[in-house]
Amino acid sequence: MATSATQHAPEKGTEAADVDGDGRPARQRKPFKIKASTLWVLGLSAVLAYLILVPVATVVWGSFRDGPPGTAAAYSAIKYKTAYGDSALYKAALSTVLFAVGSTVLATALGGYLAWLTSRTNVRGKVAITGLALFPIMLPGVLTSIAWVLLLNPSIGLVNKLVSGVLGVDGPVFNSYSIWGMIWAQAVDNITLPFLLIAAALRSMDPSLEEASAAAGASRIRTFRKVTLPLMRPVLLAVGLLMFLRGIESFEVPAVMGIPGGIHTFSTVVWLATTNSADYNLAAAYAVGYVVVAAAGLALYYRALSSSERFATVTGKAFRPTVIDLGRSAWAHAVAGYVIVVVSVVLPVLVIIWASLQPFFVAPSRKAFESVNLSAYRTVLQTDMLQRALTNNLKVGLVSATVMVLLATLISWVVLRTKIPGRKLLDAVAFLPVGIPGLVMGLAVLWFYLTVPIPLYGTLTIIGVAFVASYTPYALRGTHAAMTQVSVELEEASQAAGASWLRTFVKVTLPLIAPGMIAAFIFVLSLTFKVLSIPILLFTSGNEVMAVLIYSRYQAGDYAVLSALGVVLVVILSALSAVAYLVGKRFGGIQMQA
Amino acid sequence: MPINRKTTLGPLVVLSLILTACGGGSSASPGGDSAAAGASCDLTKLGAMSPADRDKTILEGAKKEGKVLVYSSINQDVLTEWQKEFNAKYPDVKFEGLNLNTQDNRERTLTEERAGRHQMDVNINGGAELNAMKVENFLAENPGKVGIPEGMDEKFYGTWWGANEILPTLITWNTDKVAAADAPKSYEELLDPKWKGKVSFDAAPTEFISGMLLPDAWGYDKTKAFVTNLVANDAQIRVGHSNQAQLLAAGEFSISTELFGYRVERLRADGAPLDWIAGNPTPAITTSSAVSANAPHPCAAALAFEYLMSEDGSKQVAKAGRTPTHPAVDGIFPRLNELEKSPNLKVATPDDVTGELFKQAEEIEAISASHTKK
Repeated sequence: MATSATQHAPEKGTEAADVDGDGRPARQRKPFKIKASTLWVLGLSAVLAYLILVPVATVVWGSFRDGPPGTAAAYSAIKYKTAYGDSALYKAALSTVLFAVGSTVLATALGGYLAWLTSRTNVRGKVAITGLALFPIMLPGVLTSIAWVLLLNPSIGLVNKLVSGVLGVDGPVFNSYSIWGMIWAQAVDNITLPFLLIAAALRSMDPSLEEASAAAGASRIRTFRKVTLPLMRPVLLAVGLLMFLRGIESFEVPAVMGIPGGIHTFSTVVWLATTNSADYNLAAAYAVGYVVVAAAGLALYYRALSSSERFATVTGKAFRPTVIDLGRSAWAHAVAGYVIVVVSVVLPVLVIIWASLQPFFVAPSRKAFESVNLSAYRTVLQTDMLQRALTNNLKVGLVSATVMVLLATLISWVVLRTKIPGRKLLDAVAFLPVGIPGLVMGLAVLWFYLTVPIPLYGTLTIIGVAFVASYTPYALRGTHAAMTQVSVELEEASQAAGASWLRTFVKVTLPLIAPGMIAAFIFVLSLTFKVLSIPILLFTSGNEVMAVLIYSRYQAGDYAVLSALGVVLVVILSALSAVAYLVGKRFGGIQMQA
Repeated sequence: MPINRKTTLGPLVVLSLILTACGGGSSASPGGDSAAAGASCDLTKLGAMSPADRDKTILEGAKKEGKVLVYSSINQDVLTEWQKEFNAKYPDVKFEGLNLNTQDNRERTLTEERAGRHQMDVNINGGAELNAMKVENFLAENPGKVGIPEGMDEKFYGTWWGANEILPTLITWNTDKVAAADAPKSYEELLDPKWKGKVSFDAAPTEFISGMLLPDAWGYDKTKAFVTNLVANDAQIRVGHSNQAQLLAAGEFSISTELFGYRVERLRADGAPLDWIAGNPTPAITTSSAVSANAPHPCAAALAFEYLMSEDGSKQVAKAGRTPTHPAVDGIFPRLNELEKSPNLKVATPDDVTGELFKQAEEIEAISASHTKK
């Protein structure tokens, strides 16, 4: 069956005329003028509108009211005046930008390096490095921030004591309560997303381009700079955008490490303005500001990717991603990789494990080893709520993560493979929630479902709805970057051979972007376990999820139990990730190397 | 390509799956029916009955209603014990509890009640939060003192609330870093230059400041001056009291200006090198219970309130190391029991912590929260 695709297709490799006048060669931009896909898009838009647009619209609406629903409130811009007329916000701007940019660069560099090591080289211990690099997304941010304080604070920081002793220096070398301490803690806490997405992108890279470069005589570094890096642009930009937005919104690190040092960021200014008064209309006004920044960031992202077909690395040619033999420098890279993983992940995990074994935190010493006990674990494992929370979380987490990744994939497909007008708007709408802090999103969902007669209030599903609204943006950037790597010609070939577009999507597209999808899946699934703010306002008796347990322990100041809970969570999520990884290996069309 | 069954089936299947998933999920029954029995379990009416009649009405009504939903900002551990004991005593009335921190509890309650969604039967929360709910008439009046134990100190109950515990704030120090002779004996001593940079303070110490703002405590000017000078003396600002307690025990600083009694005593019992005195005045807040004015299960709510205020209910509070207010129940830490009788104790009750007081507290808090390093 002939399709419009084959009618336009020029020979591969020839420069095609720009027949549709959009500035891109006709070969790469194929309008799929198929009615069925329009149905998908309409359906998709409906789902998006319901799941994401509704809470976002509620937040925007709330920001233009001077009181919460159910009170004698009126439309007013007063909250914007209060929010953006506060000089404290602008004073915090420099610290916020430094913090966000610094942690983004560091996280991307560290995560990217580890990704390259594990997916492209023959370094030893890849499984260990991969496994450890996943830990940060399993640990609640509040735990890791406190761990870094215990490691790096100027008076009793464990690392400081060690380093000062070794170097023979008098004062502390590191200071947790400084912008550098904050950047470090934020970066290592967020190392996993860059790691996952960059590794997925590297695995999907046809090495022939790099081989050609090497054959032409370029050094490995030059090849990296001139070939590999540019090809990685979509994923690097996606990662950079997400990390930056997380950086300006992140609360735990600035609260635990910034405030003591007198450093203020947007998130702590917002917290201060809204926490006691519980002025959620004000919080909504702040959230809208974040959304505007997110929108601007997305616009820049698209600008930078304007000719996305240049980044297609998965083409009609079959390939096996090669493993670079590091040769003589193998040991140096191995050491570097292990050092990074130890310093960024293992250290805080060790502190957390230590804290779970002590009634209160003391520096490790012979005496302290004698008071090691497992009572915190006993408390955790004997709570009947643990089993219920875990089951609930698995239920709602797995379903939400699946919905998110599917939604994200469909949206990415519409944006990258169709010419439907307004498709970038679809992406933008799905992406904007990334700017909305979890607590505000939870509240918006609460407000909406209390007023509208859809019977979701008080169910586990409402928590899932809030998850999908909040975390789809992460899945979206992941699948978008992954799909950019896949050349259209593969799908065209499938269509030319007579497959329906759905069959093409399922049999050709999905397997090729599987690594990216799996990475996104693991990431958003972990978020449903680890992020505290969203479920807190929405859970009911019997529908508790892990965040509720964690928050409850944190509130109670039971650090030993909180730490034990964190360790249990890591064990469970590691098992889940391993399963997801194995599933991806079987299903994925690209060899996923361990 | 024409639309055929195969191509349309796909999107429809997915859409219907999503919609089904939306309808599914375990659901807690939303605010039950306000049974006819409800009218007779109005607290005011109950207060006018004879004790025998009252008990009968409450018990029979509660059995008919079958459950009670409690929003509590007190620990999950205590809540779980309450739930177990209540369910054992009254197997026909299911006790369900939601553990939320003070602010989330308030926000959730206010949002639901304003929307007319009456789910909550009893609320256990801090004074300021309960006050915010009372101001909007979401909590029931209890003029007949239903549930209030005989001989309870008057400062521990009001016409619409009853305290379950008090949380006194204590000046605490690390005994490894501060010799007994040097230990501070008053708040004013914390402003001494010798303690520069060695004293911690919370970024948002609402409880401490609210207590100090009470008319017979320090009042606005003195409280503001103290906080300003403390911050100027390079106080170590930290977010969260439990965070502070842990860091104090670990030795990051020498003194904490105000930590909650039970936390300090529990750490001491675990062997932490801490000691404390109660300053003058000793600000304390309460965690109190109140019945909803629109309780979906009013008789069960009254029953639960009675239980929470009873000797049995208070014993659970004591077991957790907290300081109960019941006249016949002592906490497990003798020093805190002594403190409860101290004339210096300034208890900020739900009647005291009004919106205006809260606003004043917020203003003063901003001094510590927005401090910057010189």
